[in-house]
Amino acid sequence: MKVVVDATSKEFGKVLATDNINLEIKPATVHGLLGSNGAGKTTLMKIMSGIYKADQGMVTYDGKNIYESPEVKKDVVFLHDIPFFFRGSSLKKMAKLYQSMYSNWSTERFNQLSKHFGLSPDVQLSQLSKGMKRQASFILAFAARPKVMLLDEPFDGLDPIIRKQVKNIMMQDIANHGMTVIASSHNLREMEDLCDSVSIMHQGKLLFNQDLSDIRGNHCKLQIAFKTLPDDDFYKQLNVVHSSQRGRIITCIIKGDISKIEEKVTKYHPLMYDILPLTLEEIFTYEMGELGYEISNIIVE
Amino acid sequence: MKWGNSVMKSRTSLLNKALLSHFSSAIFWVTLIFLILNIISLPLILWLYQQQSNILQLETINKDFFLQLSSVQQVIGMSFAAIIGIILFNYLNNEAASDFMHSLPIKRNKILSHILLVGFSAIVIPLLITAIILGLQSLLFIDNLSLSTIALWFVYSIFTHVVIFTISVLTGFFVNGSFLHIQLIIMVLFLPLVLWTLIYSTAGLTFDGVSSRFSDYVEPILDITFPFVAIDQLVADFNLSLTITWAIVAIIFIILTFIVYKYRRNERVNLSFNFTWLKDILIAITTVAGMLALGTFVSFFIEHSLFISIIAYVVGALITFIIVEMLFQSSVKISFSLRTFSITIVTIIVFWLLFILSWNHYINSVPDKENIESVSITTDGNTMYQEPVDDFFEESYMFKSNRQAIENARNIHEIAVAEKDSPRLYNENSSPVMISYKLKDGHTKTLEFLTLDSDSKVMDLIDQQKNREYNMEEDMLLNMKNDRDLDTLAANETMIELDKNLVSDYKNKESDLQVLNPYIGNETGRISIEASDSSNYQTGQSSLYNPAILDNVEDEEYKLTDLMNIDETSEMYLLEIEEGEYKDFFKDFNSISLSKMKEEYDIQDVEDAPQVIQDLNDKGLDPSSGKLLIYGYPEYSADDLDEETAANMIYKIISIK
Repeated sequence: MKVVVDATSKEFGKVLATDNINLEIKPATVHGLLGSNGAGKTTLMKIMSGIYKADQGMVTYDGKNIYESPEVKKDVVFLHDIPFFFRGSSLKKMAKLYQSMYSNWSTERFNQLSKHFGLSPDVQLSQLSKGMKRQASFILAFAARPKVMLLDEPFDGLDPIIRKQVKNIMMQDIANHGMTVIASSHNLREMEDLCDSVSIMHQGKLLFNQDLSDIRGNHCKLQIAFKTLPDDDFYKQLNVVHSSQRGRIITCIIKGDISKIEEKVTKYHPLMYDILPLTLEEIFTYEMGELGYEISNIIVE
Repeated sequence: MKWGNSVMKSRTSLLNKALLSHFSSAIFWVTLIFLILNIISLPLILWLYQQQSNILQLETINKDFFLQLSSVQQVIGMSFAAIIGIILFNYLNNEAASDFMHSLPIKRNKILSHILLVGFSAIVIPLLITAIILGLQSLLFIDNLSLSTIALWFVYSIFTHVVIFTISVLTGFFVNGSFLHIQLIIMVLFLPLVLWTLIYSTAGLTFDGVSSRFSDYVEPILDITFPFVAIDQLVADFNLSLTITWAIVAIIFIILTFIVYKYRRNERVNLSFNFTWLKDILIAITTVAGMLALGTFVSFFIEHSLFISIIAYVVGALITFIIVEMLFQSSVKISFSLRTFSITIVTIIVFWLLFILSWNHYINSVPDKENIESVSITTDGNTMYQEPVDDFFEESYMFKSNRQAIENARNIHEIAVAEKDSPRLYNENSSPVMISYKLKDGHTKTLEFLTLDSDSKVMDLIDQQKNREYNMEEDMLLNMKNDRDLDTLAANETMIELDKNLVSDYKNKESDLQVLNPYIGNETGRISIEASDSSNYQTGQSSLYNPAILDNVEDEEYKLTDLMNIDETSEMYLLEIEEGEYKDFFKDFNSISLSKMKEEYDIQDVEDAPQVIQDLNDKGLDPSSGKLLIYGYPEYSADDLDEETAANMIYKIISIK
């Protein structure tokens, strides 16, 4: 299901929570929505789930507006950062509600997942810990088999093992059933392994939106040692966007066509060099630096 | 492989059972309590009453009794209807709950339909169970309670409970928070009445001319105070048009609920009010109410000081503003909003401008004579504050419809406006004057002046008009409707019961009153009468000179002096006076003390009281003799009466042979 956010804006009084957001998410991918607290991620997620109505623009799923549209919403599940259940409900009772709402609901899958995560359907959800409540919300969401899953801070409270299990199930549904996942987080490291594409929001604006493969294909980190340090021509030729030096060792970020890097590097007769993978944080540091934003101000670990 | 075709889709239907189950379970226990209280307040009470009635010979259970008894159940039911409205829509007050519900694949109007269905069912089912129990009771135990009466109660209860439910539902969309919701429901139901009462009370303390007959001016407000309407129709007459109006209002509220919900912004869930303009308006209105409450309270106890009253109003406004902000913000640490404060100040200023202008206009404007049907002018403190019941008396009671009377009343009104004090300050030399207009459009306009001096031009004019003829319109027995099924008819002071046929007999001898000298007829020989039926109690004045009274005395085992409340221990005086002196004499009698009157007139002590009593009882009345007996019990007078008190407050006069 193709998700399109079209020139969407949302105001809360005088505060512009989202400002002209344009976003297109490909089906069967995981899209990470990143930003610090108050960036507008949750607001955008709520607009995308049909909870809020955009003041301008709209969010469509395969061309259909989601707001007040049960036909669209039955294929979209939104998991809030704080799981919500009806007071006094058990997992089974919530499952009945989901079953009545979501036409793709699978009771068999629900039972499998409950057993897999070790949660009894009869347990009172209010008595569970934060992490177990989140597990319960994942069980319900996966059993609803949506085409799009919207996750707000999805892994908060989950231990590493459960986290991995949830990611695995998610990946299976993406691969096998074309599910699209949009996850918001302020944790770059967490999103790094999961996402196919990412957006960064700051103060309601969408600053950056790109596929990770494109980002990684265009950037690399080079660590190189020289007997004699090179002149500026070295940096120009290699299209270095950022560099740091310690003694005669230079660490630099190179952007652009990285296929001929080795060829270019050897011209300068380094003592030794190494091409290293870039973390998401490093890529963004330099990308956002170009846009004039200090990444540390934007993304808080 | 995508989801979808390979899996069995769940059936869609108009009703979502899981949603119904969720909302029903939320109010299950409250509904159970409602059912129990219903059964206690009606079937159980009726059964207990039935058990006791045979032993204690209590009133038989009939339709009127049952409906009046059901007023307790109405209060319970209306409270329940308000509460379930709050509970069912509580999900809108919590961000997580609201987000969850609105993320589900269901339209808002469908969620609302489910909630309304659950609410209506919770109201109807317990009422139905109660009605069935009552029906069985009526068939088995209570002969005079018909199934049709129970059916009437059932339908009426659904109506009242549903109206309150719709009010509760609609108001819930304007606020976020159960406590605020309760406050808003109470305001919607009662603030108009409270505010009007305060406005009227303040006007009464401020402007001379405002009548103390609040009931003449409160009916439209009571009609929009639904809990009052709901109960009043059980104990008084049923008003079909008002009931239909409220039913239409409830339907409109439901429609509005769908509209408001459609445009409700979920993101405002953390604000106390979904619409800030509503909060500003409510704060402004309640601040005005609080200002009037404190100001009126202080003004009532501290008279003669406009400055202190103003301080009281300012302090009242300030305190109320702070308290209401605390209530609306659900916190004692309030955030001050300059905008809200400014709106409140402007509202207060506009209020006072409108208040002063409109009440001045109301008091000062004399109705056009073409619009006046009849008028009443009274200065008698005993009768002034009674409110005659329309179906007890003829329309003409206390009112005159002739052109001269109307013109006189208008003239007196104009002069009173010119002579009255402003603001209304207590004047110990004043005499009260009440002017009432019955207008052709059905309204009644009543003005009550309390600051006019007893020797003012107004009082002089009133005296002149009053005693042109015997005031037939002010005679209670002449104006009582013949077809009243009276429980009691008695002399008010002595509690001597009178024959109920006296009403028609008195009217048959009306012509004897028409020939009386007006001063003798209007100022002497007055007897206070009380009468009651199943739903009314009325008092008024009639004339001892009507032969029907004397005939009644002869028939019964009491004497005329018993009726007059006079005996040998009374303080008695005699005076012989010419007809031409009546005007001045009665003016003095109504304004100065007897001791001062003795200086002006030849008032003699009665030496042989037993003889006087005997003569009275021996057909001793003669309205044309010019011989007046002044009598009374000064030692039994009210504590605030003293030697300076006007003679008419202590003594009475009768014309004797």
